[in-house]
This record gives sequence, structure tokens and C-alpha cells, in this order.
Amino acid sequence: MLSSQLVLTTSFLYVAFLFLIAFLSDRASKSGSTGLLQSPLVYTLSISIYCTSWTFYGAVGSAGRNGLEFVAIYLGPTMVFVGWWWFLRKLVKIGRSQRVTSIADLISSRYGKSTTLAVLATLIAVIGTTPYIALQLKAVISSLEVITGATETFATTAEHYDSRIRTAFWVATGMAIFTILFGTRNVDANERHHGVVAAIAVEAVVKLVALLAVGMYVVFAIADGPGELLSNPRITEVMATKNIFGERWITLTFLAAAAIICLPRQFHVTVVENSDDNQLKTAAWMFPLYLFLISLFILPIAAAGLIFLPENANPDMFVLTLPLSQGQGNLALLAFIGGFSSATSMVVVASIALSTMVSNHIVMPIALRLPWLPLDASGDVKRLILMSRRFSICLILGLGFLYYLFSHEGGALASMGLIAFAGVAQFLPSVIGGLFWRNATARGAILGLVGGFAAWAYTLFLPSLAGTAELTESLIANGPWGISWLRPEALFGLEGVDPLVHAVAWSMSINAFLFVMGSLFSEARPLERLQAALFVDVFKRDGGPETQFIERSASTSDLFSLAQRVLGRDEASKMFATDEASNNNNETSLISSPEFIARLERRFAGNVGAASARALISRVVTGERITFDAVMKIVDEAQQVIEYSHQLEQKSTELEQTASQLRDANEQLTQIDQQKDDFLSQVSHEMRTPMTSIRSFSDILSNAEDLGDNQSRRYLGIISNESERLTRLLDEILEANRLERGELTLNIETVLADAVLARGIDTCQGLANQSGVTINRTGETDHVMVKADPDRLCQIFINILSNAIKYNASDNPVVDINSRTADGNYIVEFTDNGPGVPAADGERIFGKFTRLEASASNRPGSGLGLSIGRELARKFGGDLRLVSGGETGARFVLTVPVV
Amino acid sequence: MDRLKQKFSDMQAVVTVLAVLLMMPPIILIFNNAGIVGQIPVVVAFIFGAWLVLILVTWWLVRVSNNMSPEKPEEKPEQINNHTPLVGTDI
Repeated sequence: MLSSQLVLTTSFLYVAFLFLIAFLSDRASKSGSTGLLQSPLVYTLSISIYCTSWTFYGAVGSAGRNGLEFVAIYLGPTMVFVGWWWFLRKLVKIGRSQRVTSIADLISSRYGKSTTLAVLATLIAVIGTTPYIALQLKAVISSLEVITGATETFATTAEHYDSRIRTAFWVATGMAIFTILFGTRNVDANERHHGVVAAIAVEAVVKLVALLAVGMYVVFAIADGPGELLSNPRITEVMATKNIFGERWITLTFLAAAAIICLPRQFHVTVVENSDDNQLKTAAWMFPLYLFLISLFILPIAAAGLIFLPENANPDMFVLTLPLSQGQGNLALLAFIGGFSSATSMVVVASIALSTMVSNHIVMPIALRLPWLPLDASGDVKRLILMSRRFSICLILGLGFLYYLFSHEGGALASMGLIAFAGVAQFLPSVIGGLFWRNATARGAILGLVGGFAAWAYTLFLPSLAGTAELTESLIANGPWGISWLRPEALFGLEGVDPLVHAVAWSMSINAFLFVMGSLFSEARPLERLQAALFVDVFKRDGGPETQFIERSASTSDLFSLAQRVLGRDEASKMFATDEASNNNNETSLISSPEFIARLERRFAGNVGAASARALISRVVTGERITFDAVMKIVDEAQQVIEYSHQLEQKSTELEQTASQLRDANEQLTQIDQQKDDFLSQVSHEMRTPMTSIRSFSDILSNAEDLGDNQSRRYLGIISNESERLTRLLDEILEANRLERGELTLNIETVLADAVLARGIDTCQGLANQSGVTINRTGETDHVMVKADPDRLCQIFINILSNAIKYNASDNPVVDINSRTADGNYIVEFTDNGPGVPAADGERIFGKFTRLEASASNRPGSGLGLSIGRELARKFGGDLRLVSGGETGARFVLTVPVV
Repeated sequence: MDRLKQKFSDMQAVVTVLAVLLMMPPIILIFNNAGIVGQIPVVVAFIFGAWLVLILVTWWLVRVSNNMSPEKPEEKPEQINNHTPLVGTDI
């Protein structure tokens, strides 16, 4: 035990030391040397106000009760910082470009500078943080009692309780004074509080060193290394009693991740106090490292407490009681100062952040609406802001104190902190939606926040006050009016779930659902659309181009007097002077430009928040109009660019496809054109021969008078033959054409195949005899029936056979015809011993008018026979093919399916 | 976007996803057994080990990103080159 004088004196000296640091830092930053103060190291250390007395005392307590569960509280933030690239980078960038002063300001600003949202978010933040402040009070009081041994000096519990409440009151008052002195020297919330940041950075070092010192002492002095402690059954039993890696683990990690963004004080140090990207880059790994280090000894300390301290020792105070039990007064004092540091730094920053919100979003809007409040004198808005901030700080600490009273001094530290986490996590949907979802609207945000917060208050906050009144007690046990499915801890019959998981699941689901639905079913105002674009596309746009979208004007003198009231005379004069200098004209213009008004509004926003700044400016500007078309343009610009490039890509693929199709079509056309030319020249060539002979013989007949009857008859016979040939040719052309177009009518019937073949052979027999060709017919297919047009089938036979006869130049010309059936087909092979068909021309001979060079001369024929033959055969479901050409003759095979 | 920057962005995504996957069930359940490594419970060793690895990887990635100069002068002509085929597709 240490004497209370020693402890109090040390605490006061420590606070004085912090003041000195703050004072020196403020002076250094005023003289322009902000090097170290803006260093990434100081920034990272200031973020570590995340580790409050909850960490310092509560984490050990949690480890002593639930083993590793406490780690989740540090893993969540680690994940957010490791993934800084995805979320924090954008958040910080927006914070800087919009001069955001708090998380309520961020939400209000994003959703069209809505005052309603600002007030709502402020209320949520204040109520949500109250248990957290109470937690710090409780930690400071308990640690004070433990270290001074006060617990043993009281005769009765009532006396003890009274004294405790007294201490709590004085601690709260002390912290309020401390915060007012620290945090309300500057008005511009957006201006960095270098002094405060430096002080909390020092406190961050102190608490880390203190915890590490206690940890080292416990691990290496009391025990013999970490192994001995961690393998002791006392702690392994705690770790093994239940599986902590379930829904509660996931919920805790999620809550902690949300808290590192949404807690007003975290938002303040991470976003508002940020001055450049390098700070965040370093914090991305250094802050997780800090968390890692501070968590490293928690489990060993808890284990040591369970092993070496009496059964009934409070695990939350192991950090103090362990050194005390070993008689290490100085180490205990260091630990106490560490815990004190973590509590005070949290309270200071949280109160600064919250008081900024209260003064900007609640006091200012009300003051602006009160006509009897004279805000005309120079700097009186500034005074009003300062006064309201001081008042808010007292209010916030007062609320914390009241919660401490009514919650019967709360439960374990960790569970009090978690209530606060779940409360501020309600901001998450609106913040994430605001940063990434263009169509999120103010209506959606309001609905989500109200719904989620109500669910949180009912399922978690209310039960935490259980025991203070009969009413709450019975309400929690039986539900309101005895309706059991409305019980706060088993809403809609969801029973048997951890109360925290239950509350988070309900509040976050309701919040997100209402947020999304509300956004989908409401229309954004022009200013909302503008802000949405500025937030969502923050990386695509630099600076504030919104000036060109808001047309307004104001007289410079009005603006100046307004600026004087808000910023004070010096600041305002400076700002207007730079504007004139930058405008580069000597005469002061009477009307301020929209650009300057926008700059002034942003400057005001740094003092009083976006919504109030807008309200202030609106008092003096006239003819404000958001040019709707322009807003639509900027809002949809980015989207359009993306869509446009998508379209371009699509178009270009389409074009490529079309181009290749066109190329193919063109090739086909050229081919067809070529074929047409060939066809025409073939036809004219074919017609020319008979025409020539017809003409010459008719000439002879008409001119020569001494022609004998015999002669004349012979000539007439030739003319008749040639005309017949001509007609046949034309018929064939027409037929080929009809076949091609599918207009040929076929009289399909079931016929005896051999009979048709015999008819064809008979027809060609005359020609064969004339040319001296022998036809051999082999094969046994007497009764085979096929489905075909008999005349056309016969024509195919004739076409093949006549070709075989006509082109056979052999000395002993022979044509073999063999018929058989195979695989359900009637197959006829025509084999000749003529010159054959070169392999290269195997398919060409089935084209129209194709006659091979070698044989073309002096042979009659249209060159259409094989083409027509094949077309017909295919119409019957069969085919006509050349199976072997070569030197020794050609072999054609006709197949027709058997019926 | 710059190819290098894209790659960096992808790596960031991998690390973030990895951080979540490693510390969440089911993966963490694999290590949640009664085993002891050098007197330290396996699950404790895993959580703190993986945590340290994540910090180191993030540190390394930040270093990489610092070495990437954000605005290269030759970036613009490159972009134009990338776009020309779009316009000049031969048909």
C-alpha cells in the first residue's frame, strides 16, 4: 500500500508535466516548428488512445475470466489499419478536403449538410460514449482504492459507497477542468491541437512502458519466463473452459474494427488531426505494432494473478495488485500512473471531440435561430463556441458520472466498454455508405441511425442499467407489459444467444436495412448529390470545385462582419486581405465572388461544422441557387466516364467483330462474283458452239442455191441437233438453278433401284456403242427399294455414265458398274479406265461448269452433270463422291438410303 | 491505372483478406487445441505469430509504396498510347 498523499502528489506532478508538454508544443507549433509534432510517430501514438483503462486494467481482467477473448478487441483495429488502403485512406482524404470536425460533421456534411443528421449523430455519440467515460471513472477510482489500500479503512459498506461516490465526483470534476484547460484554447476544431496531441502521445508512451514494465517484472521476476505462466493449469483451464472462437469472437472483432473508425475520439485523432498521407502510412503498421506490444503481456499477467493472488482478487486490478503483493511500491506507482494516463487521455480527447459536436451541432444551430441572441459584436460567435464547448465538457463528464452512479458502478470494465462500442458502431453503415455509395441519402441515414440506435438502446443500454429500478428489472425479465417476445435480451424470441451478440445482430441489421431501404426509396436533394459526388469521388477530384455549382453573392462588408464574429477580428482581416491580394486588384470589390464565399464557408466549417457554417453563410448571401444541371453533371461525371469507357470497350469489340464479319462477307462476295463471272463465260462458251454451227449451217442453207436435198436435210438435221443440245443446256442450267434454290419439285416414290439403273444403262448404251466402250454390270441387288424420284435418279446414272463414256480415251475403254448394299445404303460404283481425275480436282469437278483442262477440248457437255447429280443425290438423302481419281481411271460412288 | 500501382493495390487486398481469414473461424479453430509449443499454448503462439507477420507485411508494403513515385512524367504519353488502338482500329 502507498500513502494517498504520495499517490495524489505524483498524479498532480504528472498532470503538471503533461501541461508543460502541451504548452511547449503549442508554443513550438505557433513559431512554425511542427516537425516532430506532425511526425507519423506522434500521430500513431495519439491514435493509441484506443487503449484506455479498459486495456490497461480491463484486458487483464478479461483474460483472467475468458482467456484469449480480449485479443479480438485489438485484432479488429489491426485489420482496419492493415487494410488502410481501402478505407482509412479515403476517410482521411475526405476529412482533410472537407475540413471535417467530427464524425457527426462527416455524416451531416456527406448527406447535404443536414442539421437533423448532425444533431442525431451528436446525440448518439454522446449517449454512446457515456458508459465509456463511466468506465474510466470506475477504473481510476478502483485503482486509487487499490493502491492506497482504502478498501480496508471503512467500517461499513454504506460509508465506503459514500466515499467512493465522493471520489468519483472529484475525479470527474478534475478531469473536466483538465480537459477545459487543455482542449478549449483553440476554437477551430479542424486546426490541429498540437499541444493535446503531444500530451497524449507522451501518455501513450507512459502507459505502454508501464504495462511492459509490469509484464516483464511478472514474467521474469515473479515467474520463470512466460512458459511457466502460460502452461500453468490455472490459465489453461480458463482458456479451455469454452470455445471463444465463435459468434462472440466475430462480433467482438467486428465491433472493435467499427470502433476504431466510429468512436468520436478515434475519429478525432485519426481523421481530424491528420495532416498528411505519410502519417497514415506509418500508422498502418505502427499502430498494429503498438497494439501487439500492449497485448503481449496481458495473458501472462492474468495468469500470474490467478496463480499467485488469492482466489477472490479482482482480475481487473491484477496490474496493480501483483506488484503490490510483492512489495514493489514504485512499480505499482508506475502502473497506477500508466492506468491514470490511459484514462485521462481518453477522457480528454473524447470530451474534446464530443464537446465540439455538441457546440457545433446543437448549441450553434439553436443560437442561430434565436433572434434575441445578439451576435453582432466582433468575435462573439467565437466566444459562444468556446463557452458552449466548456459547458459541453462538463455535461459529458456529468453524464459519465451519472451513468457510473446508476449502473451500480457498472459490471466488469470490458463489458462497459463493449456497450459503448456497440453504440457508436451504429455510425458504420452511414459512414461506409457515404464514402462508397453514391445513392445513399439523408433519409436513409436518418432512418438507419434512429432504428439502429433505438435497437441498441433497448437491447443493450437499458439492460446495463438493470437493478436501478423495479421497472427495468421486470421489463428485462418479462418484457414490457409482460409481452415475452419483446424482452430486451431475447427480442422476437431470439434466445440463448450472448446478449452482446444479440444486441449487435439486431441493431446492425435494423440499421443497415433501414439505411439501404430509406436510400433506395427517397430522392436526394441537389446539395446531397453534390456532396455525395465530392465524397465518393474524392480521389478523382482535387480541391473544392463545388463553387462553380453554387451561384450566390454577398456584399463583402456583410461577409466581413460575419467573419469577424466567427473568427475574430485579426483572423478575418487576414483572410480578407489575402483574398484581395490574390484577386490582384487594388479597389476592394463590393460583391464577393462565389469562390471566396465557398472558401469562407469551408473556413467556418472548420470552426462550427458544415451545417452551421452553411446556416451562417446563408444569413448574408442572396440569390443562392445550386445550378441543378451543373450538379447533375458533376455528380454523374465520374460515373459517365466509367460508363463511357465501358461503352468504348464494348463498341471496339463489337467493331472488331463486325469488321471480321465484313471481311468474311467480302471474301464470300468476291468468290460469288468470281463464280458468277465464270458461270457467265462458261454459259456463253457453251452456247456459242451450238449457236455457231446453227448459224453457219443456216447461212449455207439460205445462200447456197445448188444444194442437194440430201445435203440440205443433213444440214437441217445438224441444226436440229444443235438446237436440241442448246435446249438441253438451257434446261440443265435452269434445273441446276432450281436445285440450288430448292425450287425443284421431286416426285419421291419408292422404286426398285436396279430397275432405274438398268434404264440409265440402256439410255447410254447407244453412246457407249458409238464410242466403243464396254459396260460391265455386276452386283446382286435385285429387290432393293429406295425412296427417290425415278426420273431424277435415272438422270444421275446417265450423267455419271455419260461422263465415263465421253472422257474415256483408253485403247480398250471399259466402264464397270457394281451395285451393293451396305449400312442401309444402296451403293453403285462406276469405275472407268479413262485418264482419271487429279487429286487436286477431286472436289472441283462437282462445281458448276467444271471441265478439266485436259479433257475439255472437243467434248460436248455443259459441265453441270456432276454438280446436278450430287445435288440430287443429297436431296434423296445420299451422296455422290469421287473415291479415287489417279492415273488408272476414276471411280464414282453413288449412295442412296435403302427403304 | 499504373500497372505497378494496380499490383500494389492487389497486394493490399490480399493482406487485408488474409488478416481477416487468419483470425476468424474456421482457420483459427485449427489451432485452438490443447497443444503446447515450447511451453506456450499453440493458439497463443499462432495468434501472436500471425499478428506479427501481418504487421511486417504491412510495413513492407508501405515501404514499397513509398518507393513508387506517385507521379511519373512518362505516365501521360503511355496512357495516350494505350488509347490509340481504340480509335484507330482498322476496319
